[in-house]
Amino acid sequence: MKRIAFVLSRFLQTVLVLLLVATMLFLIFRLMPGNPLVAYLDPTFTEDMERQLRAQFGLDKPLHVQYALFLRNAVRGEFGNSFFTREPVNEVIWTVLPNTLLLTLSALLLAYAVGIAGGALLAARRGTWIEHWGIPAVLATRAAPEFWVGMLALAIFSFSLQWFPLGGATSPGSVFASNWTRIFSVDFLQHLALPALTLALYLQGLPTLLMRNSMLEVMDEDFITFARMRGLPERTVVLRHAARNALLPVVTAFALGIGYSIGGNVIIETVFSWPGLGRTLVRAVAAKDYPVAQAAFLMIAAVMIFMNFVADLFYSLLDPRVSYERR
Amino acid sequence: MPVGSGPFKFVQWKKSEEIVLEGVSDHFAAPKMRRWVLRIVPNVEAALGGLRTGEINFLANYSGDPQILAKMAQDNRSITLVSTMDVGMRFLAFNMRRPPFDSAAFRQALNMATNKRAIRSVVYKNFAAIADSFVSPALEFWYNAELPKWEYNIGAAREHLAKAGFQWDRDGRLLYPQGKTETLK
Repeated sequence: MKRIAFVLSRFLQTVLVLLLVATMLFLIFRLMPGNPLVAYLDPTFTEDMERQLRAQFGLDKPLHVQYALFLRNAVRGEFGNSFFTREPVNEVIWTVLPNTLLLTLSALLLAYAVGIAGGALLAARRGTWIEHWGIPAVLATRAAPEFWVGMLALAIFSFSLQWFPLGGATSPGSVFASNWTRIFSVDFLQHLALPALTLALYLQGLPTLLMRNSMLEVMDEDFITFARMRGLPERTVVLRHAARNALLPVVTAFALGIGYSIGGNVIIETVFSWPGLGRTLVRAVAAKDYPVAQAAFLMIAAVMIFMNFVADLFYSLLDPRVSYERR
Repeated sequence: MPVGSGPFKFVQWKKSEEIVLEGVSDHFAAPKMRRWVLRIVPNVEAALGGLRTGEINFLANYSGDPQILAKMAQDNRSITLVSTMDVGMRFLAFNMRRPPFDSAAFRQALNMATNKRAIRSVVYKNFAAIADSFVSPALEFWYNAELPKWEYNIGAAREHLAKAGFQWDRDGRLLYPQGKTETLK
């Protein structure tokens, strides 16, 4: 019963935060100085036409009416048409969203798989040369700018060795039966490889060091000493007992990382010409394409907040020591 | 789906990725290629690398350093650099309703105080021509080579301003001629 109450209260908190973010978005876009229709209007429009357009977009209504309309449309998933291309915003976002999700999620999975193993290794081999060279190496991957690593990867693997294409999501002029066949094609995978690897190289820094720190703490605990006293082989002690318990913070970080990943990564997308949400969003903001920018921001916020909620639930599920009662 | 009467037919447009056009073989000016794919590559270095490996056949709308491209064309026999005079131009326009830009003498003096040669060599790496009118030399029928050239000459600019009645104060700041005022709204 307590658990259900906990889940419910957390969920309500999530909805509240989302509402707050949506309100802030609404206010930012409408209270900014200048005309929000500046990208839509042509300088040759007369005053009358301008006024008509404003009425059409509901910009002449009082603020609270606009807010109610905004919430109603957001809940329904209606985000209007892009000022730039005049096509529905949902289409604009839906075209690029799968590309972004596949890139960031595959990079994240790879980074965490390697990071967890690497972190466990670094912790188990404390004081050896592996640790002395490993930690600076991991820090270097984290500190190196993504565009530099990306350009290096392109220069070596794409231009010199010609193993991978220079960018894009598919070969030029390629046609696919549907989005699904495109995503599962070898062509897409070949284009995905380099950007995903570059992003994974950058992302693995966090899980590696987090796992290492967590492991070091766990290895000091009593039950590890007991396991050793019982005569269990070191490998079982490290993997089955220590690593499993040290995974908890990393799992939380992974859930939060998923939330971050939906925002897309503009740097990787520009270096590898990847048609993703990050570039679309930056272009929408630069071109004052408010419907697209608003919808994208709202979606990113919703996913982030939701993944926060999921991370909360996961942690309370995985760790029985974490109580969900109110203190 | 856009419909036109040109030598190419629209096939598809993947937003932020590419536009694919197909050649119309029985057009009166039929193209030599069967298909034309316009790729959008936001990374200039990637485009250069693609040109070198052959992944890109034509590089247009290049926004990087033209000298790098020129050197690549020089070193690489399979790359040719084609540069032509365009009909467009870069210019600085003034709001001629507001002083001091409402004075022709002031605008001419400003013209003489702008070092266009430096702009051409530093910014455009000599891939530009100095313009004396809004008509490009590429439009041979309309271009007039006899127009007055306002060469970069600070001394001549000062003389021109002095003749028009502008004066300088003790600190070297330019003052409006007698009776001229400016109001900022």
